[in-house]
Order: sequence, then structure tokens, then C-alpha cells
Amino acid sequence: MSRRCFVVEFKEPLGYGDGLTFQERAFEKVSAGEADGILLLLEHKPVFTVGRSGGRENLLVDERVLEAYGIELYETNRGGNITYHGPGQIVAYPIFNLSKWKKDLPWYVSCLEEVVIQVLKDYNIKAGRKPKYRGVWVADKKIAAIGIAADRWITMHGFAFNVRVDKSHFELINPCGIKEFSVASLDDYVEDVDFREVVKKTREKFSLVFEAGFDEVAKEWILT
Amino acid sequence: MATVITMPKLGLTMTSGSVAKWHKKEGDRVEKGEVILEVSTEKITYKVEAPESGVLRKILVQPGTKVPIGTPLCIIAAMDEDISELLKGAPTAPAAEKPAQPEAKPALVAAKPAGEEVLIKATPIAKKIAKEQGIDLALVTGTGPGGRIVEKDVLDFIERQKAVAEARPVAKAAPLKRIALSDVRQVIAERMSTSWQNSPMVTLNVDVDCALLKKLREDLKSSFKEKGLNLSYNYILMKACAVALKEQPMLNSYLEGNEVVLYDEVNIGLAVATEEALLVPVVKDVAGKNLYEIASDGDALIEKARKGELAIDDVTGGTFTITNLGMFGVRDFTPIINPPQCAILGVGEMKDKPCVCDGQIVVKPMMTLSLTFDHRIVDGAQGAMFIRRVKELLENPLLLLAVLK
Repeated sequence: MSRRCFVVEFKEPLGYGDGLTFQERAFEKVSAGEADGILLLLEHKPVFTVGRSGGRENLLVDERVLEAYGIELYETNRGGNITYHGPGQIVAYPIFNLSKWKKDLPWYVSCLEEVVIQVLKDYNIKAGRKPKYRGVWVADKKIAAIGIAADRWITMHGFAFNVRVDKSHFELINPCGIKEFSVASLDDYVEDVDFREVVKKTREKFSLVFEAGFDEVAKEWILT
Repeated sequence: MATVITMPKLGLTMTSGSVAKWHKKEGDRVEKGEVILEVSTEKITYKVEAPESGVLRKILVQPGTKVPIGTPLCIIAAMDEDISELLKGAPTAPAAEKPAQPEAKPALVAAKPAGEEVLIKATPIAKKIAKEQGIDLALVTGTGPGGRIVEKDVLDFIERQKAVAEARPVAKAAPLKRIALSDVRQVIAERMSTSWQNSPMVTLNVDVDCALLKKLREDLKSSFKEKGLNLSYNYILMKACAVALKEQPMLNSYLEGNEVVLYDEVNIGLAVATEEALLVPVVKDVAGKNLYEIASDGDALIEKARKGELAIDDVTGGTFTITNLGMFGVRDFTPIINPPQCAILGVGEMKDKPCVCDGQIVVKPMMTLSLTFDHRIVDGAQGAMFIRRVKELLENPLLLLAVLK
């Protein structure tokens, strides 16, 4: 089955709210059948997002401290607990119509995990999954967080993959409310990581795992 | 038009799901698109939105309950709509029947773990190692295909946990010291276990006014001292117990099969703490001896115990035991019977206490006695009568002159 899929690579960090706007517009396009899937690949400006299941209790500092750090606090309608996004982290928002793949959310989540695992494999890093917690793990450190939403089998949100992040920001929270394990970043294992190269590999692995070619389009197309 | 929300099928392999949480309660107004509950399967939690506006009339599945897909979860209807038809058989409706109502559509998916419902894919060897080492596989990072946990994953996890434990100085335990049980300790361990397992024990506590007992001891102390004897309260207690045991021989007995065997003599063991262990030298025929004789035998035995010179004969043949922890400030306790005996008396500290006497608060030397007895041989009332008699004899020690021998 050939699928009409597009990818948008954002070269500049995006505010969290702007990211949401792009997701919503992409969602409309997929809903309207203009595409089977649109993949947004971007970096966010520093932000802590709090999900519907709460998470403020996992913010370890006062909001004034966040201001001093230049980190935004954003309340979202997605599931999940507190999450950090910031420069050096690949954020992938696949807006996919799963009717064109498989109407199976566990399968979809597992595919997202596989994308990251495959990228890490290219860097000779053996990553895996934990039965209890979602995300991608290198040993007992979480290198990618996953949080998705779906409506009429069209997905939103996705994963955040730490490539070369400022880890001091993570120290201000218990990521995803998980206290017993810490976070990892690709540059913990690989010297001089080329961020754009990792983005490129992520694109390739999406094609591989989701068996689809992604045509690159400009971000303006999303807004049309 | 009433709407039934059923357990959604969110994945091809999904056959059942759990209700994780209700966001609304019965009677709440819900708007179309509003999240009304969360369901979970594998490690994902899904939020389910209301397909129509209305009132949440009935919740059919409680949180934490796992049900097959298609099982009705709740009914949304107008406030005054008759839903009795839908309620009939609804809670038991099997998934196979394919309810006419559409499944709830998947709404928002939470990134939090689903909690109890964790599907673990692991190789048999990984499962075996985890079980042996007490590892929770749900926490292990699986690097096999599809996240399957392989042997190396578990071994690596154990290594890392060890490293973490070692890195935390507070968590680091001192090397364990092992002490072999001495022969005496082994015997005590075995006898106490036997007693605990075989005898259903009851302990009764009574407070004893020791004013006259104390006076008696003061009066007699010097004459005992002249004979080189120490008149300890234990000897007076022994005498009182011997008298009571003669009157109530059922407590001076042991159980053998379906028979209670009554001892003829009253031989009372006195628990003595030594450096190595607790020893119980036995004063023989206490009922037939006067206080001088009891003190004389007792002092000799205690001296032998301290020196470690007790002979087998000195520590066997007991029919009842007294154990005194009063010198440690213990008020009362629950002694364990020295098998095969029927009962043991625990003695607490003698201490001045405020007591109410004829409507006045007066200070009196008080002591608590704790009688533990084997309920197979005697009942509570008999035990109570025995300890009441001991109390009476101690509170009026002159009665010891007018007793059965």
C-alpha cells in the first residue's frame, strides 16, 4: 500500500504553543484526506509541560526559578505527567491516520519506540523498553519519552528524544513522575554528536518502521 | 436516546481492558467530547470521551476491574429517560454478543504507566533469574525484539542495581556477622518453638498489693542472713505457688495424648539469666519445704548456675516455672510455658503506686503477676482462680501458715 506522507523539519526552536498550532493544522490536513501522515520534526524552546494526569507535584522548584532559567510552564490536554522539552532534543510529532496502517495503539506506540531504538543502534547503543514504563531506555536511563493522543485513529503528540540536552533542566523535575530512574542523552555515549545527522536518521527510521516515504515540505504548506 | 459506552478495542491483540478511573460520577452531566473515564491495557492508559451529551446515569464497571472488549461500561442518557431495558443483563453482557452500540472511540492516550496490567515479554531463562533474584521484570529494560527481556538484560539490571546500592553510602550495610547457636541456645530454641507450636497459651495479669509481703521479708531477712541465706521474693512466691498448686493440681500437670497427668510433687523451676543463656534450676518438693529449706536449696542452685556447675538433675523434673523480670523494670509480660508443663508465672517489678483504698488514694508497693497456662489443660476460670489464690496468699502471707501441705 502506498501512503502519501510528508515531513516538515523545523530548523529553529519552536515555542510549545506554536508546536501545538502546527500539530492542529496538520491534523486538519490528515482529517481532510490531504495526506495519510504528516511528520513534524522539531526542537522546542525550554518548556515543562504538564499533562492531564497532573504532574505539578513533580515540579521540584518554584515557578519563579523557572523564569530565572528561562523555562516556560505549559498545561496541555495530552496524557502523561510532567515532561521537559528543550534545545538538543528531537521532538517528533507524527500526525498519522492509523486507518492507513493498523488501528492499533499499542502497536503504534511500539513503532515509535522502535524508531528511536533503530537510530540508537546506528550509534552502537543498545536501547530497549521497560514493561512498566513507556519510552526508550538505555540501561536504566530514559532517552526518549512518549506521549500520544488519538482521535478517530488520527494521532497527535509523539516522542521527545534527548540528543544533546541541557540535563540541568531535568534536575528541576521528576521526569514523567518516575523517581527511581534518571534520564540519558545521546551525547552521554557519543562524542560530538551532529544533531542534524540524528534528525536525518530519525526520518530514515520513520520510513523504515512505518514503511512509507516522507516527502519533505516547507512548514508554510502546513498552514495553507 | 441512551448511549452505552463499551470497552473499546484499541489494539489488534487486545482482548480485555481495565477501567482505571472514572472522571465523572453517576448523576453528573457530561458534554460530548468530555473525558468520562480512563481505561488501561498493556502499559497504556486511554481516556475515553463521551460520544454524546447527557447524564451519566449508570456506571457498570468499577475501577480496577478487567473486562472483555465490548463490555458495557456505563450508560449516558437524558435525566428522565427509562434505562431499565438497558440495565437488564448489562453487567453480565459478554463481549461476544457484539452490542449494538458503537465502541467508545479512542480519545486521549496518557503516557503514564497503566499500573497493574503490565504485560511482560521475557525469555524463560530471564524469568527464572528474575524470580531467583527477586527482580521485578516490569522495571527491567528489555533489548530483545519488541522489547523482550533477555537473560543479559536481567543480569545487567542486577549489576546496575548493585552499583547503585554501593554508590549510596547510607544504603550500604555493614558486613553481616554470624553467630553460631551454642548447644544450650539450640535446646532453648527448640523447646520454645515446641511450646509455641503445641500449646494454645493464655496469659492472665493480676496486680498484687505487696505491703504485707514486703513487711514479712523485712522481718525475716536478718534471720535468713544469719544462716547465710538471701530471702528473695522469689522464694516466697515459690511457696505461695506451691500452696496454690497443691490446692489446684490441674495446673501442676502435663498433657500426654488424651490424658492429663498430675504430678504428685510440686517442683518449681526458677528462670535464672546467666551470661550464656537462660537456665532454669528446679527446687524440688517446694510444697513439702519451709521457707528456710526453699531459700537454702534455691541459693545453692543459683550459685551453681552462675558458676556453670548445674547438674542434669538440677534442671530437670520441674512441674511449674517462675520467671522474674522485675529487676529490669518490666511491669508485666507474656511468658512462654516451659514444656511439657501446664503453666508459668511471670513476675513484674515491685513498685510504689497510687492505689484507691476506701475512697482515698494511698501509695502501695504493687507488683503485677502474669500467669500463662496451656488452654488445652485448663480453662480461663481455673487459671484465674489459681492466680487469685496466689494473689491472696501474697497479700496475706500469714495464710501460708494455714495451708495444705
